[in-house]
Amino acid sequence: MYRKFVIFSISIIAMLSGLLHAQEASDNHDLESILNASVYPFFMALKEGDVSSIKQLIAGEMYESKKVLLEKNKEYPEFLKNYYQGIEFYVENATQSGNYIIVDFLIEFPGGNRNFARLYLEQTKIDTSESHEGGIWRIIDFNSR
Amino acid sequence: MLAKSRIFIVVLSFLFAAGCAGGGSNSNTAANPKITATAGANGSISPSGAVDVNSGSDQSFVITPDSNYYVLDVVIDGISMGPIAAYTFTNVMVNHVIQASFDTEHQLIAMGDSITEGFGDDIAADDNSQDGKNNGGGFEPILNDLLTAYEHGFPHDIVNEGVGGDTSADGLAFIPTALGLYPNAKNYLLQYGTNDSDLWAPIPSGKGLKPGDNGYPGTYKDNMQQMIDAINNAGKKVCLAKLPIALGDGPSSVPYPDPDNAARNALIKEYNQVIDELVNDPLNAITLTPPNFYNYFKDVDPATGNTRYEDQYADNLHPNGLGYQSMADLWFDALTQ
Repeated sequence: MYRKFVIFSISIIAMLSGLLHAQEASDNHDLESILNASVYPFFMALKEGDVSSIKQLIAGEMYESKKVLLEKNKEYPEFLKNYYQGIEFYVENATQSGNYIIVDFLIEFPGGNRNFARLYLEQTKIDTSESHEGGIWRIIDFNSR
Repeated sequence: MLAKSRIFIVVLSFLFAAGCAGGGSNSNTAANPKITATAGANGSISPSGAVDVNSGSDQSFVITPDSNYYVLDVVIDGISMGPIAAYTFTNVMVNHVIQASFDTEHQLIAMGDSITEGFGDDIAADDNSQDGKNNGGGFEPILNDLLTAYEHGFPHDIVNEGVGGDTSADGLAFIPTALGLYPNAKNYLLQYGTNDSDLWAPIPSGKGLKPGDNGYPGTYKDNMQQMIDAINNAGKKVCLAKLPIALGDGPSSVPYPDPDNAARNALIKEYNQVIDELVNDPLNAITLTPPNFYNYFKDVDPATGNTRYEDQYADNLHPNGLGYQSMADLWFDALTQ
């Protein structure tokens, strides 16, 4: 599973670097770092039903609306694993807009059905022990396109 | 002579007593019929009490509600006349009874997501209820007109509390506010779940589970049950709805090739089964059969030969104007069954 994810991440980064070629190299590097720190682990956590990681990677309304499920439902990890079984995520584009990062991605279902979706990330600090100045980038919203 | 006079007086007294007793208890006294007029709380009827009427004459009554109340019904000799403001008995020959009752307008709170909000409604002609209270499209203004007509003009207010993107968890968070905002509401119409089934970390249905089970907290069933409890505890009636079929992940995303068998609809169908569980739980005291929007929109319309979602959806998730008219009809059927 880990190997598959590494290969998946590499291919995403390669794709992303092509999409962002018009931007400055430093911008690309920052976005790649954010994708590696927040977005890919989020996808992985969904597929593995890793609610501890999900709790660290989302914030705001997105967290509040799932708070009881994430904190109290002992069968939610298994539910997530079953639900996302065989689903693949492919990042298409990532851009920074003001205080937000918008990530467009493709979801491929088992059987080949595909759909597009978008994540919104904001830099938030939910724990004073977080070393990153201003906190880390967390997913605050999602929608299907 | 004296003896004869005494006998005459006794006979006259007997006849008088017999006549009074007959007039008080029967409805066929011609000489002095009575109309008994009573008003329930929050209004009056004039004149009121036992009103003597000269046989063969007319007698009018005026029914006046208190401020913020309306005439709910006027019942004459056991027959409902609807919310009338006055009534005249003509050529009164027998006793009658007139009873008036009053109530605040019938306010129903529609809570849900963008479907309850009316997103995608493309028919402007029915966006405002005839009484001007409900505006902005969706099924609410249409349902207002239907219920108001059904109850002979008694006023209704179908408050639109649909919020785009809301899940059952959002609805649960909003319930205390809603109960505070609308203390006179009679019914709460709840339709959540389309966003619960969204691709991002969907909410499990909780089907077959109960409080205390490991998989119960935060499920669709848990959220809906808590909303039902709050509404029942406030003395209001709960009306649930079965969710409509989704044709894709997002409003404009790639449509499912076979919507009824898509993963999202598998979850929506589970939510609808949870609705059945909640309705069938006697502790919830839900007396109305939920409108089944899933089957309605999925089924073929005999008039067109198309599935209804083909003609009555604006996008993958939302009805169009025709669809909202259908939703109003189905809500009306559920509320008046």
